[in-house]
Amino acid sequence: MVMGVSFLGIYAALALSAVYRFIMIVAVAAGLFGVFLFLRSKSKWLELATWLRSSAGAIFLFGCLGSGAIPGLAWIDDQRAALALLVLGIAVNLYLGYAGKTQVFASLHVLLSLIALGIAPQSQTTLICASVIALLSVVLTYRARRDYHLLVTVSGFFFFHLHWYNFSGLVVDGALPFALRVTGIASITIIGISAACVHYRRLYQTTRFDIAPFITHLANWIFLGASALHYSTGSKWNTIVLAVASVSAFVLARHARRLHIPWLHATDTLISLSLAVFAAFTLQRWGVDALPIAGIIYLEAMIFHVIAVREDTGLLRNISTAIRHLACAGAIVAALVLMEGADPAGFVKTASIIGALMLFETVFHVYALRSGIARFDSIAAYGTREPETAFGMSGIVIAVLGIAFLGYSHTHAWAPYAMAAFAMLCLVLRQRIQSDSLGVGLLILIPAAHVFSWFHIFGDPALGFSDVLLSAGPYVPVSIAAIALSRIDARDRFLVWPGLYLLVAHALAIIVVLFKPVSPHIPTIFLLVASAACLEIARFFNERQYTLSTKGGIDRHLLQIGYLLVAIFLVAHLTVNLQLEDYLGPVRVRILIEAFALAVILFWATSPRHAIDYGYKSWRYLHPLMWELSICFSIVVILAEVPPAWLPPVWSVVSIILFAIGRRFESLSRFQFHSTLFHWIASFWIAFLASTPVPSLRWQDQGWVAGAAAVVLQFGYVIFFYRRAALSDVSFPIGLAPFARLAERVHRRQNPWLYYPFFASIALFAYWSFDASVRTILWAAESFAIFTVSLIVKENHFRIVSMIGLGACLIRLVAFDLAQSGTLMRAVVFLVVGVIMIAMNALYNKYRDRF
Amino acid sequence: MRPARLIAFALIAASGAALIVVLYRMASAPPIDASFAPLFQLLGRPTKAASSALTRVMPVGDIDEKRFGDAIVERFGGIKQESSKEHRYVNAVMRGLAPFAAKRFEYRVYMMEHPSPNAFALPGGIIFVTTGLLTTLRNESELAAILAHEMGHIELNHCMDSVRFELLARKIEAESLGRLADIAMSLMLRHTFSKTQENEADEYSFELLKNSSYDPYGTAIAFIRLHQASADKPYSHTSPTTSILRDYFSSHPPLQIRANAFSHRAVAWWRSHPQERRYIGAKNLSSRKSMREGPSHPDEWVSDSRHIR
Repeated sequence: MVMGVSFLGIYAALALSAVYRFIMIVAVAAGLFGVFLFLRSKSKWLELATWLRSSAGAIFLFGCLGSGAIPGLAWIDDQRAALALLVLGIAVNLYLGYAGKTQVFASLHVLLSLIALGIAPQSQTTLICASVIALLSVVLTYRARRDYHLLVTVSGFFFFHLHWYNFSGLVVDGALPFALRVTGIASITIIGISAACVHYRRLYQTTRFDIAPFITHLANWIFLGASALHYSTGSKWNTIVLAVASVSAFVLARHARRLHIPWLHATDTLISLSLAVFAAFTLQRWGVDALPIAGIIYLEAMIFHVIAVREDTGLLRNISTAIRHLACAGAIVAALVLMEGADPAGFVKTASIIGALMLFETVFHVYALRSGIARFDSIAAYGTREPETAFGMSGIVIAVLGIAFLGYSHTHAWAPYAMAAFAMLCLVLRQRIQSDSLGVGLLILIPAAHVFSWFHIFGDPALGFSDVLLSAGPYVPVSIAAIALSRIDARDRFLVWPGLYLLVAHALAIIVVLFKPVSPHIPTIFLLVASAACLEIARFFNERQYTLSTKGGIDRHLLQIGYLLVAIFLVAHLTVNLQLEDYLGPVRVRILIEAFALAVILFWATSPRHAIDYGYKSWRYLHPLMWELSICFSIVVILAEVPPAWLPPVWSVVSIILFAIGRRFESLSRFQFHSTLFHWIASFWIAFLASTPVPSLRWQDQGWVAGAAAVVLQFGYVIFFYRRAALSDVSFPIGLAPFARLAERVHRRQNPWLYYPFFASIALFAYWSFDASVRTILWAAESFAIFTVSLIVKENHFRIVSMIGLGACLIRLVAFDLAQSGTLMRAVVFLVVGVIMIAMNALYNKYRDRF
Repeated sequence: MRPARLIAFALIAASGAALIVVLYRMASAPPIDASFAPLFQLLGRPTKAASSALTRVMPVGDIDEKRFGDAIVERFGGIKQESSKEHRYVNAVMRGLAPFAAKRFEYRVYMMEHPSPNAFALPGGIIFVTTGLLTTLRNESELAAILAHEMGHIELNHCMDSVRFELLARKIEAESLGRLADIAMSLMLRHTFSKTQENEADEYSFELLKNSSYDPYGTAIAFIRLHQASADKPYSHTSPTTSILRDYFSSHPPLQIRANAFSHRAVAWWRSHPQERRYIGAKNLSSRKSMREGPSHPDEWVSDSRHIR
């Protein structure tokens, strides 16, 4: 039967004309509706009946649509009449959607209506009709919470509008006629706003995050924005429009907050911010550059953050932190990226903008810290709802912006003054509000400012004396202020070392720039004077126990700076001053510098032992070694200035002087051991190097003259050493502990350590410096001297050595002198050796008991 | 601050200020901004002293050194030129310097055909000089300075230091072993005191010129000529920039530093010897006739430092 009816229906449909087909469709619809009426009283069939009713409505709508738009069904030629019929069908469906009482039926009939309208030829009227459909659909959601229905409505209307605008053929030459534009703007505005207002009712009041209305609300805003873009003309007045929209969204958000709808408040606030950002971007059409735009966005994000934090909404607060940090990063990137390629004339403008941003950030930071919202500007705010730290990002932002500022402006005369003033302001603020963030930022910014200054004064050789001072001078008070304003209340301490080191480094840089072009030796003198000044200022602070000393250790840092300056001088002296060969009259200028340096090192070394708190490691370990430094420096001076031939007597003199000092001053008793080192050096030099040939025929230039003088001085030394019982009470500072063991070993057998090197050196000196004919005499005399020593020190081994030496002389006397010397020489040698032997025998007989 | 310390500090400050004024007025500048060469020269002194001491204690003497030198000369037989005018001239100059030698052998100078200016010494009193050197130098005092420098290497046993083990090994007919020992020592110690040796030879040259009839400025001006000749060559040690590696591995101190040092010393010497007269010998060099054996040109004598630039 069904098949029969179906075939009958198909035959009728194919055989009949369009109007009859329409009547057939309507009849089917009516039939379905009749079934609905029959079944609706039976509760078991109610749902089916409702669906049958909706089907009837859909079929009727299909018929109405087909009457004017579908070939084969179209029987109305007049477009207005066809549209009227379609509207009738839509009206029926809308009623059925309303009557369905559920979201499903409402959404279904709205969608069907919009689709049907979309298939019809498009015009202004169709858009108006679609708007009415959507509006009525939206109105339905005011009856009850119908989040999905609203989502379907706004989505359906969006796509309808999209189709109407892009595929209807109404756009001519890329633009709509004016009337259509007005209709389109009005329709999307009405639908968008009415859909948005749905959620601003107490119905949506909640403490939790409602995902469904959130998505619907967000989608509505996105659809509204996307649809509005179609009507954008690229006019610069869009900025105003977007700004107004942003303010409107902001007001709505505040209303949502009053209604206690947190997700709505957050969403609309974000929408407001987004519109504000878009408005800022459109400022390009007004000729505004990227950096000011980035700055405006940065300010918008800052305001947004302040509001979000003060309103104390958890999600929005966290989002605002992230947005603020992103905006800061964007401003910094814009500031840095622009640096390359920007013209010099624009540098000042760019620097000014960056300077303004720095000031804004500073003001924000002060306000944030004072009002307690700074903790939400920290990294910790990302991980917890209630961050405990107040270490915000402002300090870093200020520092990086400051570096960008200097990158543009550091070659301009006014830039150091501007940066110095700003730095001073920040230092004062940091001290007053005790901001760690600002402190860290200043630790970055102030050294960077100094580096820029150094780049400028070192990099521009055309700068004159006054230019250098005017350019670098403003940072001197900044460094001083960094020392004075460095108190950290939380630790009850002053952080003086950054400012102190910067001050010294900056002063040195200025001195080098000013004086190196004249003479690179001048700054080395300043290094020495500055080191002495550091020492005395350190002592001044330490003795008076100033707060900067007791709670900042300024004296300790000054000491370390002083050591550093001495070290720098030594390097500079070895690489620069050693090349100085100028003379001042008969004196080489380099010697004057070396004498001055030695005076300064001795000034350090003679600083009273307990003048400074001995708890300082540098004072305890390094300071005692200043004496050794003076000795080492003296060695360098001697090697550089003394002609090689005269080194042996000089080493001997040094050994005598060191020994005398070591005996005179108990605190320098170790100098006695040092003197033995120089004694050995002198002995080595006498032995192997005193006889180095010199290109001179004058006897006074010959090496043996200085060698002989050294031998005499060495004699004096060993006598002095012996009579004063040296090395008996020798103490060493901590840094020279290994020498103590060596000194002890030497002291236990000091006579052999002292005399044998000396005797060996004399023997070798005689061998290489004198003619072979006189060597026997000299060695015999030496044997006698050794014998005499054995009597004085009462040590038998010396006597044995002297006997062996004398024996060797006798052998040489026979083997060499007899064979090779002349008669007179032979006589002299034999006489001298004979006298020596007699004297030795007499002494031995007299002092026999000593052996 | 205690009074004594205060006074001491005041003295230091005043002395420093005075030194600054002196340096400012003199406006003296080093030839190289910063060079580690003088430091390496000083640091090489101890190692050099130990090396010299080792040479001293070896039972090898001037005779051994001379025989070694003769053997080397034979190997250079194809290169040296003994019959040229230049050869006779340089040996005539050398004979004027020989009285200052302490070694008991004759100094012999050989010419070598090469365009670049160079000279080197070998054990046994052998000195080789390139033809390029004679065209680079301008007067006889400069040549005397170069020959005195090479003579200094021999007199101060720098050449002996490098072949001592081979000389010792020759006595026991184990030359190869000795040569190996010398190479090993050279590799280990070469960079530590090669600059020290050069400085010692420079000093020797300057001292010799001071005691001879030649102008002491000859040492400095010879370095200047060599510096000018090498300035445009790659890898020449003439750059005014600082490089610790270059300064360490370079076998010679920078020519600029050497020229600067001996220029100032020459000026100081002239200031302290106002009565002296010294010989330059530009015409002697150009005519290849030494002051000793050829005519002594009256206009080649100088009596002050005005000729020093």
